Amino acid sequence: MLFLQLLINGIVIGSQYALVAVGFSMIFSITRIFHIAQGATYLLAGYVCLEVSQRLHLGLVLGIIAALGAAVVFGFIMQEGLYRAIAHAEHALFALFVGSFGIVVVVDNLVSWAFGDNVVQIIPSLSRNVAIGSLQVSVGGLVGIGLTIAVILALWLLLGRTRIGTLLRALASDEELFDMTYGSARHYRRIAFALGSLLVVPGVLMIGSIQGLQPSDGITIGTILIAVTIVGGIGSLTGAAISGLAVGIIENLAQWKLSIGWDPVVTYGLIVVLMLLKPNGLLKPLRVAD
Amino acid sequence: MLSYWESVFVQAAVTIIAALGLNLQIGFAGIYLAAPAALYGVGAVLAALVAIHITSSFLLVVVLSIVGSMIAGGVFGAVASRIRGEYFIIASMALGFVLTGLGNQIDFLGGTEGLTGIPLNNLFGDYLVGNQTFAIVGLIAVVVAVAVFALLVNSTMGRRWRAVMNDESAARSLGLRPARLKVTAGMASGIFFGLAGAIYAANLEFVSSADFGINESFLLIVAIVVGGAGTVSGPVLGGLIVAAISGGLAEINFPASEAGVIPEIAYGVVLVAILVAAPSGLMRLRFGRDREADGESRRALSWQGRFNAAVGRPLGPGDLVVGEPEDEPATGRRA
Repeated sequence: MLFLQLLINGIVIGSQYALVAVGFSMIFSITRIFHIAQGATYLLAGYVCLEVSQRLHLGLVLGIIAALGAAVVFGFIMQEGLYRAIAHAEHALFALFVGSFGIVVVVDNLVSWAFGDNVVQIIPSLSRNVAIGSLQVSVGGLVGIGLTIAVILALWLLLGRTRIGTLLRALASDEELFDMTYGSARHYRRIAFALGSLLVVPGVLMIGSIQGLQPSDGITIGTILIAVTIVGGIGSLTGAAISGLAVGIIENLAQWKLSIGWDPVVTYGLIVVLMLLKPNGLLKPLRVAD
Repeated sequence: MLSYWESVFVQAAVTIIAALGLNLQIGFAGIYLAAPAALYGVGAVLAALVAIHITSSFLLVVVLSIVGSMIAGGVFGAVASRIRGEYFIIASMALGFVLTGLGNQIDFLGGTEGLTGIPLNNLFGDYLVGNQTFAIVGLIAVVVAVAVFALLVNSTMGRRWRAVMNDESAARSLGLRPARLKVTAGMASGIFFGLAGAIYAANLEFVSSADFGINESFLLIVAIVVGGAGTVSGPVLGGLIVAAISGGLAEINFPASEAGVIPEIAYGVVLVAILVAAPSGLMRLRFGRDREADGESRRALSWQGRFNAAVGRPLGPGDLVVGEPEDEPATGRRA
């Protein structure tokens, strides 16, 4: 029974990892930037929602809208303000990562300053538990799984069936060809950043209500979502989703045998092992998206 | 007052030495190590354990700490040889979390409380204690470390590291073995991390794995970026700047809620400013502008040239290169 309970918990958290990773996966496959600042987007969206809905008492809907707005604006600022300025340096790849990393550290500390280090719950009502048979699932967990499926489906439709989606996939597949055929890719990179940043919001609302939100999540979630994307295979949304699920499940099953303090060791150890075993990702994308 | 700046200097010395280790991996071997503090922490924990359980002779502590760190560094290098350049960034962060997590969980390594009661190290019969003593130790250590670093990167092995960094397939076609070279680079960096860790442990008499996490790694990365990776003097300059910032900020009395946060924000701001204005670091600013991404190279210095310039020698014709090979990262960069 404990095993099944842990499995359910794992699926819940795993689907949230998948949800958050999908946004990053899109940004990374289209712009090739190690946008670990997605973790900062995560924090900002979460705390903005908290502030608007709870502390300012403006209600949840406004909170969510504010969070979405904050995410898009922040993503836009990162792309236009920071990344374009750094992109032309030597060792640009690492410089971009370091800049992104620096931003996460700054945002992490800013929210710590403004909100304290305590774990907060964004939508407390979601943490209520529901019993299915002898197992417990939180309401947020069920909503989260549903959201993940819905979002991934919507994304799949967007990328596969619309003109914008096709152009985004083209850009991810071959930038030079895209430039020659369609002209400047800058507009589409902006779209990728906007969309990818928006996609972090459902994830933070869910994880932030079930597990809670704290400033240090910026880096930890940021690391996990990059790792999950890489393990799943660049450009493969299904890959990111599957590896997110796998990490969540194994992370929870480990609690069967190990005490809770070992969580980070298991999660990150697993990530390292997976990256070592499959340096090119679990699923090689057949075409760029799926 | 003097004692305060002496303690800042000790901190600077330790940071500089660790930064040299990081610089070796990032600037000379092309290994994008994003969690250097974890390796440095390995050195510190080892030094503490040796001092507590085996011997408190400083020289032995340093040697054993270096040996252990070299092994850890070699492991990182092995992982780097298997996981491609930019993806290694994340793998190294994950490895870093694993190491600090282990340190926090396993009581022998300190657990959540850390390793306390590290006995005073003794060197040539005298006990090492006090800021002034460690400032001197630190100074000597920095000089030795810089010398060793310069020797390493200018050696045949150093040139091989750079060859692999600049163009792995070309290196392979010349008969070099990138995997093995990355392992040796990792091990070499362990020398510096071990030395830094040993001084840290002896000075502070307390080591906790939690003190070697993301924020500390960030500090080292800032030091490298600000000073300039790929130069010998870059980490020295970067380490001094970083220590000066933290030392200076600590002088201002912030209310408790802000005390930990302000320095981090300051480093972040400095980092981003440097990245935008002088992405190759301050040391490189002297030698001409950065190369544009489209391969148009202007007056560029070869590695030998940069080394010569960094140590103040006059430059010769062999130090200039027109059109250095473009080190195109495997997945390209776009923004």
